[in-house]
Amino acid sequence: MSASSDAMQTLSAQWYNAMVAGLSLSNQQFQLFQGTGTTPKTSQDLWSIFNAVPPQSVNNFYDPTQANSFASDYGLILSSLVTGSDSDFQSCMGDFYGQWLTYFKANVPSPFNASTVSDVFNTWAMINAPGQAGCASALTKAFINPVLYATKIFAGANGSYAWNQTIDALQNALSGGQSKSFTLNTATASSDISHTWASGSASGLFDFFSIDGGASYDNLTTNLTSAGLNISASYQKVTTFAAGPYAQANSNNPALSSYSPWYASSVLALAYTTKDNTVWNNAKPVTWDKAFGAAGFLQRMATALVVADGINITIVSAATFSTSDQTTITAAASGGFWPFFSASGQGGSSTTVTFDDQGRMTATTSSPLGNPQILGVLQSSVGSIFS
Amino acid sequence: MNNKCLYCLAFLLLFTKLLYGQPDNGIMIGYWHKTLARQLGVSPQSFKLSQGSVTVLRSSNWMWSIFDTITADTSAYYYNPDQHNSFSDYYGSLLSRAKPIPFAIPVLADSCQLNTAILRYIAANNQYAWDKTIDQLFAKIPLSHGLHFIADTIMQTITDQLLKPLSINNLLGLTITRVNVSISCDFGRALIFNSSPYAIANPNNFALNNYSPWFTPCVYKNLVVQGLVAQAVRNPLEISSTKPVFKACIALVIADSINVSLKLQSVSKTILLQIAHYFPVNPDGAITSKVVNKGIIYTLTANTSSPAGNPILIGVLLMPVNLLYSR
Repeated sequence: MSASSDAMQTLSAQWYNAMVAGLSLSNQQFQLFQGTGTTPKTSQDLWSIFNAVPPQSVNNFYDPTQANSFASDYGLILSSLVTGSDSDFQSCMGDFYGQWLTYFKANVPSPFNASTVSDVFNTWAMINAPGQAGCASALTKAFINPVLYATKIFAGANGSYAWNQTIDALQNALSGGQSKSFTLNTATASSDISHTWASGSASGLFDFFSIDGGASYDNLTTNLTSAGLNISASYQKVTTFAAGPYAQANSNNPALSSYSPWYASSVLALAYTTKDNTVWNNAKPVTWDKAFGAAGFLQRMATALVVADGINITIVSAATFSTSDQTTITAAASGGFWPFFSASGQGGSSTTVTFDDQGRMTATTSSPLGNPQILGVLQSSVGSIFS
Repeated sequence: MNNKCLYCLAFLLLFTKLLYGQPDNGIMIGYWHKTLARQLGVSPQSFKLSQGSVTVLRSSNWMWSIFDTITADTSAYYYNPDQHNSFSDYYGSLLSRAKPIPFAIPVLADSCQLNTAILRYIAANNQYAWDKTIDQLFAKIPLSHGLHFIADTIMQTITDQLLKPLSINNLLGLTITRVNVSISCDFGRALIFNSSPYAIANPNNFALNNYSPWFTPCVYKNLVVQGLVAQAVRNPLEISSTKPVFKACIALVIADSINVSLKLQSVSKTILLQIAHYFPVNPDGAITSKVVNKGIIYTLTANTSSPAGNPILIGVLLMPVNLLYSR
């Protein structure tokens, strides 16, 4: 790893720690989010981010085309579960089971649902088996068999997997968000990320300059970071926006009217907490280990987005730069600086660079309200949610 | 180093909190969490802080989605807002695995009949409301009191490190860090808002007219507390001493018109101790010491504000799922 890469790794880790502290986030859940064009414009964009299974890294470059999605993982798991045979009703009825079966076949209610079946049974039991009247629950609970229900609604979604919050809600949340600010002094800040949920893993690190300038930029990066940086970050609006897979019908949200619920959490809980063949169909290719094991496809889930608007970041470097270096840095400013890469003019953002008499740099990047950026994602491990 | 200095070190080790490592967010947020819980008059064990800034949306479904969440208690301070595990679905799965009781009819009121509970759950048609709506929450905000306080604390952390463990004259580095955490909190309004699963029809609340009661507290109590769930199938949320306790939200902690400043300042100094022999130390002066006061000052400031009219979910109150509605 080059000196500039080392420097950026340290700087990224310090930035992670500063953001966790400054925005009051848990380092057991937060993941820095980076990507181009990542601010969702539609509910579908938003749901794609929630649907993406986060990798084990404190720093993730979001890829909207990534193959590992929560909905498809959930579908794979569902297809490998058994519905289970429930003998509770037969056991409860004892010697009366045969008589009831004969009666029921001749008196199947219409419409056929839990309420009408219960009525038929209660009428029959009152006359023929009063002592067995309490068995009605064993009959009606078949209508809420979790695996059968989950399989039915998942198939009914026809591949359109919504989440329970829409883009309008995110925009409302952001407009009512709090202002937050924090500072980072790289000379004294910790770069230790070993205590985070990702145990020190970081991927997709960025260069300081968005322009690929080769070795000269690497040297500038090393000089900038080794001498120390003072970074001030302020956000006019910040919101933490949680959403879950669409599980309950929401008739109050017109944006969800064309989607049907597709998720049942109790089934995933059952699948995670039970490895044996009372829940898993051994004849299916997807097993508990393939789903949840050490190399399983579903390790964690996106819980919430941390989104900011009205961003201002000022970076003051203790390093001194020659006139030619100053020219190079000023030219690079057009593409934006780490950790905020919007090019000047893009979305109303602007980056200015000034140097004092000693050649020390002050760079300010600002983006006005109306240009929200996703700062990060809160992730949760499957184990922490279901075990 | 003389005996006097050794005694000083022993004093420091015994009477200061041993918090290893550079002062981090945990110290500051821990103090904020404990102090805010005390000011709100709630238990720190049940109170969890929201992460970041959670805007209160004017939507009952949004509010119910928080009450409906079952969360793992994995952080001492923070609430995990994950919504992949829901209470209403958990309740449905309990009903689906309940053992029937053939002869129970005469002794159980209708409000505690398992079959009635199942039919009510099904009749809700996958729309599980809570007994209060978002309009009720917003109506209570202007009626609530403010919360204003300042607080600070000083903690001392000590980190020791054997610098040359293999040499005859071992070097022990002792870093003493003094941490000052200060809080300034100004909530124009602060409100603790409770709600329960919709169990009794409330025709007076127009917003609940489209929902039917789906929860039967007596049956839930029987299933969870008295363990009437079928034992053949494992209860995914069973309580175990080796697992985190699953909790559900019983109240939202809301604040409006907010100005909060959290500040952490630390000063570190390092003492180098040269140890001639292994411990226990020869009292005749086998240890020499050198104080290297590096004077490193670490400052962390987090400021948060929002104007009146933008209520924020500051945190939630949680309760273990096996204790819910058991009274």
